[in-house]
Amino acid sequence: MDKKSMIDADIFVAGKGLAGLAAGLFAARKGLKVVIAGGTSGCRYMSGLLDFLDICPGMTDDPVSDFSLLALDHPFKKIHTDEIRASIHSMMTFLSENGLKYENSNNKNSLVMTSAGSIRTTYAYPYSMKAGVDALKNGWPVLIVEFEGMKGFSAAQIAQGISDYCSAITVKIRFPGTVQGSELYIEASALSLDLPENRVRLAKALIPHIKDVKAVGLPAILGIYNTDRIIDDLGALLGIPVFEIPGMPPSVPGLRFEETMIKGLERLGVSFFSQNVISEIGYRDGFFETAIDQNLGIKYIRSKGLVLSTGRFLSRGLIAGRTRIYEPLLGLHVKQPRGRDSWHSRMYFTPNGHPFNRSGIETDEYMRPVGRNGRPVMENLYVTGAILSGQDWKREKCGAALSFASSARAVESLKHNIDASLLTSEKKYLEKTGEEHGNILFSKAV
Amino acid sequence: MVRGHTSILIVGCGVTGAGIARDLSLRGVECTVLDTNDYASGASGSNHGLLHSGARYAVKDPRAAEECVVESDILKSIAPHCIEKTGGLFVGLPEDDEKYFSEFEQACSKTNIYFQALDPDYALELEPSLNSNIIAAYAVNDATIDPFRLTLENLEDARIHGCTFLPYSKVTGFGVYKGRIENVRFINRISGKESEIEADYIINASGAWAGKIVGLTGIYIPVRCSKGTLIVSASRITGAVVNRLRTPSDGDIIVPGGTVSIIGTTSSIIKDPDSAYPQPSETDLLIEEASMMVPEFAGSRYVRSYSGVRPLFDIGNNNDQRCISRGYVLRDHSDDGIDNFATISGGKLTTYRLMAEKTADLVCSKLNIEAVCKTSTRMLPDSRKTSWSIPGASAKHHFVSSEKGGRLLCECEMISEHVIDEIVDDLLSQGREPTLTEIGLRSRVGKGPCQGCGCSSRIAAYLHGRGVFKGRDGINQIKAMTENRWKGLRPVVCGDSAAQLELQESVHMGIFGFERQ
Repeated sequence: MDKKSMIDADIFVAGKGLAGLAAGLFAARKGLKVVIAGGTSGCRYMSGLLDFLDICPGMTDDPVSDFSLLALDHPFKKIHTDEIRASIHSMMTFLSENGLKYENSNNKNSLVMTSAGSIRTTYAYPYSMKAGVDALKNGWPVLIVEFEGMKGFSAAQIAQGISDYCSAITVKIRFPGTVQGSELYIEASALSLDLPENRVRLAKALIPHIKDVKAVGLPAILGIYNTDRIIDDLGALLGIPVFEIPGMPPSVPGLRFEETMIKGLERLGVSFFSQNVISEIGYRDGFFETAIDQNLGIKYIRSKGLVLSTGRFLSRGLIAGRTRIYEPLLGLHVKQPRGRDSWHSRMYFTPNGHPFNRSGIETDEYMRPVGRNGRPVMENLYVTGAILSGQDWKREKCGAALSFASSARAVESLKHNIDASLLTSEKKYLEKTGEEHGNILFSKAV
Repeated sequence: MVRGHTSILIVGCGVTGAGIARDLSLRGVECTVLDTNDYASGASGSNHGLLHSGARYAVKDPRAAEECVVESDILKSIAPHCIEKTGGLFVGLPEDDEKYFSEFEQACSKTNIYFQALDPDYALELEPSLNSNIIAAYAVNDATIDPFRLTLENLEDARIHGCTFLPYSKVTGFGVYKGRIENVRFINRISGKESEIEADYIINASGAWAGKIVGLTGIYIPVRCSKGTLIVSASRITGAVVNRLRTPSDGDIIVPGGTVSIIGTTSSIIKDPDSAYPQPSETDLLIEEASMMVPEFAGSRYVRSYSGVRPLFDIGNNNDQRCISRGYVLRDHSDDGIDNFATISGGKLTTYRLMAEKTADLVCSKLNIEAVCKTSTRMLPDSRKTSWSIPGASAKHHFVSSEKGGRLLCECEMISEHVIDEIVDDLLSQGREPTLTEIGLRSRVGKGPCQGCGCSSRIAAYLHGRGVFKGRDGINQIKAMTENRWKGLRPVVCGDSAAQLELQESVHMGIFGFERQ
């Protein structure tokens, strides 16, 4: 291996989604050198809301009260509720420090309206969605605004959906700068509002429609880099608060989350490899060696610890063959229901969820993956996030908490190990043979 | 209780029921057709879409084969817009019985079925996806036919000529008096409204439910239900229909269906025609069998599976379900004590027109109506409203049309607001409240790679904007359409379909929380 193409790090994180980014933050905060690699992640499909826990049926305002309903092998059973909560608030603080404010009401869940007219709970919401939470809580009359050419967002549908909570009037306007009949491009439109003059135009278009309402709800496309400022500006121009309504992907709030985290982490010295393929991971003489395929050649990252946060099927962290589910990067044992016939329930919307969704990597309380014998596969290897077994984050409304808390736990354990190994031996490249150290090339399941 | 009168009442709007309605209507006979669902909801909507050359039946059922030869030619001339002349191949693998090959040749010759023996290398040139180990090949005139379009065209032509269609109407009972059905009671499953209709003659064209319907009059007909499962691949892998050169058995036909390939079928007895679910084990069997003829199927993505139910009327003691007659049954219930009632059931998609003709002839003779069948020569109309289910039709419209097509609501299949408007307005004009499922039936909504994930939400939002959906209609419709499609998706979830499903659940549950609404 060419020394020039090798990077040394304390931790290599595979995956750039909620769990991977959280691992990066917690590790950087502990003074560890972090390298993160990953492609398109779950950030693009998230609503922008950060969930803690809310298990069916019904909706609860206290996430902790639902802990008794958790399955025995749920990752949350391994982590104390205070620790989980702390990891969410840690992330919220970091995001706020980096220009994307997140809020929470009294450590409880809040109700949020969606673009489908449904109402759902969440734990923490971006500042841009705050007035919507307030509107539902206080029963404010609201104005819901839809933009011509923006598909999948009907003001009428939302107004009718929230009618048990708020009365709503609706209006359809042309987004500033577009012409009649044109299609509205989500990211471009969001970006245009980062310019103050476009905000003014938007406000001017809205003012005539504001009649006896206490807040205005809009599609979640209010800027990409200056959203909090845009919310304040529009609120000032209209005289009443403005809020975003989360909806279908492509998710601008998700994009903001991702960008804010990446920029913030880069400032803390975290290195990123995006859209590059991890071609191989090996283990030699006490270090993980990850080969990353770049257009200009292969880069190697040698790290003491490895955190696998590669997500589930959409991000190819897990692959479902016709007979079994497998983990393609390290060939880890996947806990799963036996046989495809037991993967899914007959009813898609069953509140109990599908056994398939609870498949994944099982870990000990430190987030170390265990093998078939229930024992950790190896030292300094951790698995965090949606790839974990025993949870169904989409139905349990625990996606963010799961990712943040598992990554926090993993990093804490890994830091402890790194400190311990520094005490017992010098940090230099060891010359012993491969067999003595149990060198491994992980079998990549194809 | 609403009361009405019609000359002929047809129970069941599958392709046979719709075909009878058209046949009678063209003869100037007034009729009403009702169905517990929309149209083509039974076997007519869950078959292979195969227009048989007859070669498959030549050896074991020459009579059925002959009917197929004649009828497929007729359909090719009267309904060309519903048919793709793909051609067909029969291929033999090294493990197949060569005796069957010669039986096949003899049987086809005897029944006048066109076939041509091909050198295997030439067959591989025609169809490169074939297993290179094939040892025999024959070309035949198989073709594919769109059963949804076919049914709808028959129904629409019948309606233009005076027929009434009553969807979502479930027959609940017959008033039998002195050897005649005096009235038929039914309930509208959407509104709950109960109605009664008097008819001069009643035709039971309810397919696998024939036994249940007849049973309501007190007559017992032994009908067994045979479930057949098929699977749909994400892309079209063969150009022609590909059959296995052996005695008909599971999984030995691969049929192109526009932009996809459909593999089928299986055969298992079930108790209740309403509970026909495709199973993962059946889909795996189909993939294994098809891969033997066309290896590419082993690694394909499958977007859905479905099961149809065939009614089987026992003839003799044969336990092989395929051997039990698949020919149709036309029973005049005068033989059972009711004079103005007949059942037509069984048969194949290919012979629907013939079945309809025979039924219409029977009815006319019973009512002393002198009118000649026109359906063997009269072109089936090519109405625009049925054309949206053709792959690419919406896309072409979007690009070529000079009218304002509107924005695309379904990006996989390129379906614009304008197409949705046409379909919705047509349903509204019939006094119906449009549902996403009905829109899907009449178009390609939900049939592309995303299987309805994105477009269901976009169309729901669009229809709320138009005022067609109100209140929680959008959410309820998305849930209904998704749950409906789930039956077919569940058995084939793996690979890319699992990734697509995760995206779909992330949106439905993760963002919208639909599981709680």
